[in-house]
Amino acid sequence: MVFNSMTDALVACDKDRLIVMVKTALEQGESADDILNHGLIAGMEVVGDRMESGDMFIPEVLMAAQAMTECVEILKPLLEETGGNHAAAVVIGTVKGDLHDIGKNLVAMMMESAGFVVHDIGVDIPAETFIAAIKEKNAKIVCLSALLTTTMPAMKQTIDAISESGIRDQVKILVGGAPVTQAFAETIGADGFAADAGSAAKLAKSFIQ
Amino acid sequence: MNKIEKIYQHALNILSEVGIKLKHLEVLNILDENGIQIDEETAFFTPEQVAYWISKAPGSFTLYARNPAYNIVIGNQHRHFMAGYGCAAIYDKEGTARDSLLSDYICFARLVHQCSHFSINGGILAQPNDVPAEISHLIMTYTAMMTSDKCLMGIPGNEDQVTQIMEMAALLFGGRSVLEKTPRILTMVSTISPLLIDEMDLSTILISARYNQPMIMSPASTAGTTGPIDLAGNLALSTAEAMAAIVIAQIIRPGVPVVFGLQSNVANLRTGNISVGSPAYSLQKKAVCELARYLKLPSRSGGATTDSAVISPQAGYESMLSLMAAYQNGVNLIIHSAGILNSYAAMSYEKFMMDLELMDMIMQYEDGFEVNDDTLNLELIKSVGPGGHFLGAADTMRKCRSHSRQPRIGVRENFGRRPPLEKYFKNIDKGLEQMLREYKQPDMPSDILRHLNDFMAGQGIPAPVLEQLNHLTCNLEDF
Ligand code: B12
Repeated sequence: MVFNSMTDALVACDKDRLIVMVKTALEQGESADDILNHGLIAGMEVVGDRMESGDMFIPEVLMAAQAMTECVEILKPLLEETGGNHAAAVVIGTVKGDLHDIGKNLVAMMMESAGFVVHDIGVDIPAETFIAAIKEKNAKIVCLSALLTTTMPAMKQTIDAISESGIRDQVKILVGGAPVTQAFAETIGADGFAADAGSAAKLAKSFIQ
Repeated sequence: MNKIEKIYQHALNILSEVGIKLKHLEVLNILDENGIQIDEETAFFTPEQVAYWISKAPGSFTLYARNPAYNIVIGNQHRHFMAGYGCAAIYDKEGTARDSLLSDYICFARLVHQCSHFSINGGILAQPNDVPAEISHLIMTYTAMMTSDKCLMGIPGNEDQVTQIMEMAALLFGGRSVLEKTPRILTMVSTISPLLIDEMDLSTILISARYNQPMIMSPASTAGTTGPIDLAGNLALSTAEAMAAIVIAQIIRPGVPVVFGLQSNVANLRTGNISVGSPAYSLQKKAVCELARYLKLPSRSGGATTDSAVISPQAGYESMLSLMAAYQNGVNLIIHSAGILNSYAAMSYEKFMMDLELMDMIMQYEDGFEVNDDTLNLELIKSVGPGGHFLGAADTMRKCRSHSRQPRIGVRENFGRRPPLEKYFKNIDKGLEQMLREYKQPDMPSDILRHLNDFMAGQGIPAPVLEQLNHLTCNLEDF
């Protein structure tokens, strides 16, 4: 019940109401884990679906994601206490030579909302920086974004470099951006492709489960 | 203060209070030497500095073609159409995408050459995905020079790449000193909104300015994503970025021709993508023209743009609104006037033909009609008299071909059983086929050809590749 109304508050981008709900739920003895998984993440799934269908606009989705982030801050100390919910780390960036970031930012946001710990390392990122970030953050998922046909080869170079550095088995690699296709993703040896931010987050979750 | 003055003032405030980030050490040093305040990578311009340097830029200039018949004046009341630019994909009639290839580049260069609506050819008519990215600027420029003797569009790039293109232009037009005296190759510079210019585009400004070649400064801040959601704020942001780029160019080379080329967009906030079929986009073009006039600079905006991914009613009406708005408001350079689909994501041959028809219609509309004794012609009306008809009048017979202009591809004869759309697409195919069949390559003086080939060889392009380039045909059946 209380979890359903959290979804409503998220969809309505009502941060204040959501925070009250999370606090009340804690007082009533719900576990932080349940609040996160059945309240917030479940709610963001609905938000993601509505974004995909165009029923929610991107700025509204961003607001919902911000509300969720604030609530996660409240839950964090409790989650750490119980030792539950080790969210997988995601490293995301736009490849070398490419400065487009609107799509990448949306993917990062949806990943965060799906419960991942997202490290957005920015645009124009060389392979070495991706590798260093994977190692440092112990990432399970890497997301490469490219919007230019001229920078699509940098995706392959990045994947090759990750293989050469010996950490390929540690990570799942997702690629995306307007010119990228499923077929291209397969040719360059990526683990997955998604055409939009909502499906990217779903795909990432399917890799972790 | 009127609306335009307010936007301009706001842009000045942005440049003096927020500044603009410039990812180019040499450019930052040049600005520093010229008294511009620099804080790490951010430059702050005072209103006086902006006004002083912008006043150095010419209000209009002539762009010279290899064939003087195609020379054009850019600025004042002149309006020029240019084809779609920058796409790396081609959509077919059904909207199915494929990579664009060198053969597409050649086809579009020939179509542009054949069509009297265009005086400028080249640039990135379509990105040739079958050519390695490191040399595609050389291959595209060479192909454009060989295919057409109209004015030339350049390609932005790093310092080496832009220098190579300028050197090719020098070979084509009689040496660097000649090139530096006359605007010959026009290059588009993009900013990264909000308020950043990357190394590539600053390199493009640096080299083009050193060769005294014209540039289009084209910020594309998008209301709601890379710019404020209110059009006033978005336009001011684009204006600030364009003015910064212009000031930089003028400091490097006072008097170098520049175009005030705001491509201010609006976002589709359901997806975060841009929307260029929207009335809000056309509304901003109107402001771009007014701002350019206020700054006494030539203007640039988009043309037959649409958010549709396929030739459709939507593609038709959106493109018409957008192209008409650009033309009627007096945009000097109307880029993306033909072939563009899906918010700049792809080119389409069918859309190209459709857009030629839009241009025909707009020009005819603009021609207006004459009112004089001949066109009023009382004798004619007397001779037909009440209840008669004009179909049989000699006057009608004499003028029926010149006065009843037929559409290029549009279908008006809707009798018979054939589905009308089938006829429409058949007309498109026929038109394309005819333009390509009638294409004749303009002569290239043999000594210039030799110099260009030597230059290409010097850049590591093997002679057989060039030989092949000169014999590539473009038969649409092949696609
Ligand atoms: C906005 C834009 C810009 C802005 C970028 C602002 C910014 N902060 O990002 C500016 C003006 C700066 C820009 C610059 C350039 N651009 Co640009 N740009 C676009 C434009 C209009 C929209 C891109 C966009 O933001 N789409 C909206 C987002 C939400 O969609 P998206 O990025 O596709 O992301 C979605 C999915 O793809 C997916 N996704 C994205 N990343 C990932 C990653 C993973 C892992 C997954 C699973 C999914 C995924 O999810 C996202 C959300 O649903 C496109 C045209 C178009 N309509 O696509 C051209 C376009 C991509 N640009 C183009 C060009 C040529 C350039 C420039 C080279 C222009 C120039 N001459 O300077 C420069 C390049 C700068 C550089 N080095 O990168 C061309 C590319 C052609 C080609 N050869 O490939 C295009 C197609 C336009 C054109 N016809 O010219 N551009």
